[in-house]
Amino acid sequence: MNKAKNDVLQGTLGLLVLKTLARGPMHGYGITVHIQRVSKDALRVEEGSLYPALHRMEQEGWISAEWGTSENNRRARYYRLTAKGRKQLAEEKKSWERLTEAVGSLLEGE
Amino acid sequence: MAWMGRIRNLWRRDRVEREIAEEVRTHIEMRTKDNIASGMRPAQARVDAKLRFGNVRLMEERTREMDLMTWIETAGQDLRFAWRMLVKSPGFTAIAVMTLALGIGANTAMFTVVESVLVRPLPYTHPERLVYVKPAGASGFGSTSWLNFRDIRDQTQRMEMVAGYSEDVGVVQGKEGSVSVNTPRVTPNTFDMLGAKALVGRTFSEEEGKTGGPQVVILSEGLWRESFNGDPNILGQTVRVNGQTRVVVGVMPRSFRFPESTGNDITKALWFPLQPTEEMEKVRGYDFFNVLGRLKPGATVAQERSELGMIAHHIGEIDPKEGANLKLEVTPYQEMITGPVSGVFMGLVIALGLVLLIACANVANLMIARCLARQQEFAIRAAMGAGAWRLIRQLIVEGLLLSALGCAVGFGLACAGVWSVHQLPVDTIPRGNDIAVRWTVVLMLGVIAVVTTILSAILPALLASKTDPQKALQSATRGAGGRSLRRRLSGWLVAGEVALSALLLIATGLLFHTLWNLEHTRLGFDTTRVTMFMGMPADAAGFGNLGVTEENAKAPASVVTLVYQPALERIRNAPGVQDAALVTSPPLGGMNLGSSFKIVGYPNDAAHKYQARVTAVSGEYERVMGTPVIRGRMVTDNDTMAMPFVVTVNETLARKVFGEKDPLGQQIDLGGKDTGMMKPYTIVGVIGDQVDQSVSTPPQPYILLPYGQVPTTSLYYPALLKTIVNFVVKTRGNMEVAPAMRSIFKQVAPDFALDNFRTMQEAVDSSNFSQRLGLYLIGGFAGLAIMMVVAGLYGVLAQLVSYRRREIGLRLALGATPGAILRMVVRQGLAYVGAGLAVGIAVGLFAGRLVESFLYEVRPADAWTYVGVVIVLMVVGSVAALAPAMRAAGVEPMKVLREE
Repeated sequence: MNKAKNDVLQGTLGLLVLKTLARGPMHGYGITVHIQRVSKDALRVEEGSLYPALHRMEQEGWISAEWGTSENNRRARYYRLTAKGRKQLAEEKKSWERLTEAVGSLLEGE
Repeated sequence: MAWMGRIRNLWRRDRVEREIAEEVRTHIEMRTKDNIASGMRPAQARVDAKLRFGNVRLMEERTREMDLMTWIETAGQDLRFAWRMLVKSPGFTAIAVMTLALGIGANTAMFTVVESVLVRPLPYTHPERLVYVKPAGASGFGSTSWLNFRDIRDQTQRMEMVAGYSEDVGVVQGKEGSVSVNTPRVTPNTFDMLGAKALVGRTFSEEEGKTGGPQVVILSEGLWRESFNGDPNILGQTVRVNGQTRVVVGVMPRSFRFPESTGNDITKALWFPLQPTEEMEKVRGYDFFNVLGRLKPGATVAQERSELGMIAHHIGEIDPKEGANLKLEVTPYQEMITGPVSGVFMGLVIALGLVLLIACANVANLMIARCLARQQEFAIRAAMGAGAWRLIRQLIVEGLLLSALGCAVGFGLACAGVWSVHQLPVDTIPRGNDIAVRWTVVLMLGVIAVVTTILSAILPALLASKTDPQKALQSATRGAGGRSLRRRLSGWLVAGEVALSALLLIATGLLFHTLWNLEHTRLGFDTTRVTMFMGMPADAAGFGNLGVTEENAKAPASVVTLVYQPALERIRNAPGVQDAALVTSPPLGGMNLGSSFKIVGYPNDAAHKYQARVTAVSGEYERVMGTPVIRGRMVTDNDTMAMPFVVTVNETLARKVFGEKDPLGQQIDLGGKDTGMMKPYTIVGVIGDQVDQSVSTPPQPYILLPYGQVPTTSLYYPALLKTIVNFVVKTRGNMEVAPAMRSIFKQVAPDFALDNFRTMQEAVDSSNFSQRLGLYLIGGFAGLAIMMVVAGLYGVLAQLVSYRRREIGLRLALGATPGAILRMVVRQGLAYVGAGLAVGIAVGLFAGRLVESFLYEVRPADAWTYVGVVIVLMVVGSVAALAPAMRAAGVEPMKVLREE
């Protein structure tokens, strides 16, 4: 099966999630909606991958989670960026920039 | 602490799953709501939400996998890194692993032995309730009489079963000639009490345990297989034991080793049912009977002790003449068997614990030294954002890896140790055959590994975590001095090592002094070229069958004139033989036949009843043994039934009974009608004391009867001459005695079983064996400890010198002489040694009392030992300090200062 083109690129999900959470605590659904909206539907988080990723990031200590109440009074798990996560975000951002820069210069060079 | 979190999650799977499920539900509901808001129909909205999620189960699975994967991944990372670090410094790794392996291996081997011998219960039903009853104060497996056994059995309320046995020896006619065997006599209920089942046939019936009951026998599996070729039709056959025929009713399996006190020979024994003789029913002082009982469930040894007090009191009332002073003592049976060695083992366990502690201290020191060297690495990692926990974890993983490697090598060493335990002479250790590495031992290994990891890695790890990156990075470039906590700690560890090894050295010294004393004890005989061996008549009477023949019955001819005299004559004339003699109980011969006696003319009361070891001897005994006759004469071959009855006694007897008075001419009464020794014996000589039971116990009073004057009608005849006798032979050169002796007996008395050939020197060595073994072991441990101390001290001082290079350079530049620097470093080293010594000696003086029972004419606070320990450790300390000190003295001030 050919994956939808606008699925989030392998390996960038973490960066996107971290970046999203940098704005403030949010629940899983909110994260998908946010990524989709900000990218103007260009990026779509595959929901089946989001939660394993969140779980892993939590274990790494980049984000922390707690149960809270959503805007319409539903119990939801809210994720928050930790200091470590902030560092991780900076790192991933840097390496992403390096990557795009490298790819960009390669493309321009052609 | 994400690591912990992950481990926790592995266990709390349920909760995690519930949380994930709930989260997914929330997500789907939110999406459904938004879908509806954007215009979908509710049903479609829901399907879409679910579809977007894909397989929820799969997702959950993947989430859980993340847990395990990340855990394994980071653990793997740590391990790989630790492995790389260890491989990078192979010297450090080798030393650390070997140090730990020695400590762990020795401890594991020791634990194996202790677990097998002391801890594991005996292979009987309710072994914890088995108790042994003996007269108070009796040493070892003390015995009491049949009558006392009967009264205890009949009166006890707290024991559900009371059984008894008497140890004995005999000669059995196998398919290939006579064999001397142990022939314990047991009450039939013994097998029931122990829960032992026969391998073939049955155990004894009640009927067979009565006077005049059927003459039956049970064989051991070993004897059955070796002497009867494992004959499957053995049941119902007759075998000849001690010249009498007996019907075989059963064969006991190899695992049945009762009574344990017999040692390894029990595997080739046979059992008789105990059938009380007339003597046993009559004489309460006839102490030949060992009593074993099983407590009722819930009854305690203390309760049984008080009950036995009452029973003894009662016996005193019904039999005031013989039972008045009876006091009984009760001990758990397992303790009876292992009692003699438990002290030794505990000593060794403590010694090995010390070795392990020293090993851990050394590895900790090595780790600290490495931490110092890796300070920059840690600092950089800390500066890069590694948390304190992460650094600690790294060090702990390294420690764990070291421990694991140490365990692997140590386990090999332990197996080698257990193997060598099995190479010890049989019966060195009770239950020696049971010693094997079991799962409990592996468990123990795990515990030891955790302990060593904690001791050797946590301390350095905690120190490393305190690293202040900025300071470390700065000081690393400058090589600054200063008393850091870490360095002081290394010093303490070395001082601790010195203290622990001082303890081991003290124990070694005390044991060495003990062994020296033992080897130089006056044995009372000359061991040069003297061989002793045991002889047993085919119709051996056995100690359990003693009796007095009726007075008017015709006295049978003595085995002395029939066998011993002609045999001795031939032995003395054999080539290479200088002298030969017969003696029932030679020194260190393992025989201990005691008797009470009175002195003719002394008051007939308890205060004038004495105890002595009794032996029959031929002439020339004193010449073979080289023992001086102090007064009068030694009994000779000319003292026959036709001559006046005479005895020679030893110095101890003369001193104890007669004090300053002249013993010569006094007459000894050996029991009269009760024993069949109707005529008294006149003392004609006093012989020098010889050691008897063991080299380290003082000699007991000793009566030497001429073998020609033991009436065949008396109780003494079967005991002294018809059961087991020993021969001592002095040769002219070093030669093998056994073949010549066997051929002589083949001519004179072919049915005699000859056994147990050994030189007197071998007997002395085996008597001192446990002290010698202890000395070698503890001495070996102490040597190990000293090596570790040298390494530790060297390491710490070398570290200190490299740390203070700049300061030393400065001192030299300002006019300090190299000699002064040398002295400074050595002084520093000796300060650690001195501190350790002070602590070690203080503890040693206090703990010395624990080993007191192993010492022989050495006080626990033995001055020689302590002086020796101080000298050894001071010398060792100086040697270890010398190399770093020379390095310090050789520092070139200009070079160091320019490095700035």
